[in-house]
Amino acid sequence: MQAVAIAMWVGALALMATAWRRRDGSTKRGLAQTVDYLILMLPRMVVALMLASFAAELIPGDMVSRWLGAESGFTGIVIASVCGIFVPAGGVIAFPLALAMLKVGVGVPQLIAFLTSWEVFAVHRVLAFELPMMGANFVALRITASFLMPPLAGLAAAGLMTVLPG
Amino acid sequence: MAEDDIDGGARRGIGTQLKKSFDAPFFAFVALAVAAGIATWYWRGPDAFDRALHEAREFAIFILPRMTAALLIAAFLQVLVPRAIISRLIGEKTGLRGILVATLAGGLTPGGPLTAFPIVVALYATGANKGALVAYLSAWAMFGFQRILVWEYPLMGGDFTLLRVCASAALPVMAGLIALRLPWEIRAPAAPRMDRKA
Repeated sequence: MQAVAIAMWVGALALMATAWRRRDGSTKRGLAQTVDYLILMLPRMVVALMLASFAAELIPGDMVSRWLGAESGFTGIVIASVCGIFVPAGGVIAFPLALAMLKVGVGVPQLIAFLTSWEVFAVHRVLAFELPMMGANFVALRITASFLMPPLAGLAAAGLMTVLPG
Repeated sequence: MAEDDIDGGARRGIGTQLKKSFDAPFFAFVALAVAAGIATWYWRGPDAFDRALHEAREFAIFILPRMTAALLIAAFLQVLVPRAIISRLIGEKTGLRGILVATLAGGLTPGGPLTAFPIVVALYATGANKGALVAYLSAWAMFGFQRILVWEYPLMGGDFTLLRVCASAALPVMAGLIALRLPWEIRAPAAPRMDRKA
């Protein structure tokens, strides 16, 4: 995990060096954008982490792990896929929720199905962006083409986990 | 929420940015966290409450340096890589090759829906086929590197992220191929189609 963090910082510094070499104000704009992001993300991250920790205490662990635990198999993957559709929020809610679910014993393939479903169907994004910009036909086309993706991702994850131990 | 307004756009003053940051959804989110905190205290006891706060603090210390690096990467990529390049890469392509390029481009698109949807509209307007459009959007939603760097990797860890990405790597391509064979014609309100060769 430490290695990935170091790699991220190396990447960030390399990009900043590239911007610096251009000498066209890219560095300043990049830093200004970063500050904007930090102002936006920091308060949300703090609240998200508190919410995730409280949720992990509140979620009835035994019930959730019975329905969605590693033992729940394909049924659990299907239930998780359906649940994911109804998360009307961005990553600021979905990932802390996923973290809380992992802590109370939801199986990894089930969790991957849940996240994929939220990523693919994101109700709020369809209503706010996709429908007004791309039209109903596109939404119908995309959802028909991808409604099998969440369970497939869950199944593939389960398969990969048996092939690669750990 | 955060993800929806994380996109850049023109630089505004710090004051505007603060206003944007502490908006109604944010306070709704705070209210939710406070309610969860009260519920934890009430149903699970003060010990559970303390444990949760302690855990949140540990996580914040772990995440902060990673998140800062992720946001630097996202911001500088947005400044350095013009949107036009992404658009040109899949603009006129058709068939499987366009779908593969679109999948890759979707994963590499920084930002939230405010970045991705204008690109989808632009791709549509310049004649990208519908399979490529579906593949692009699916790949952005599932593998958008910004979301992975900012949220998934810090919260869920490297092993989980790697497993999820490997398990679903082929899915946007599949969705694109299915979409190519579906009968619907796209009629996007946001843009008239310039040519109809796809």
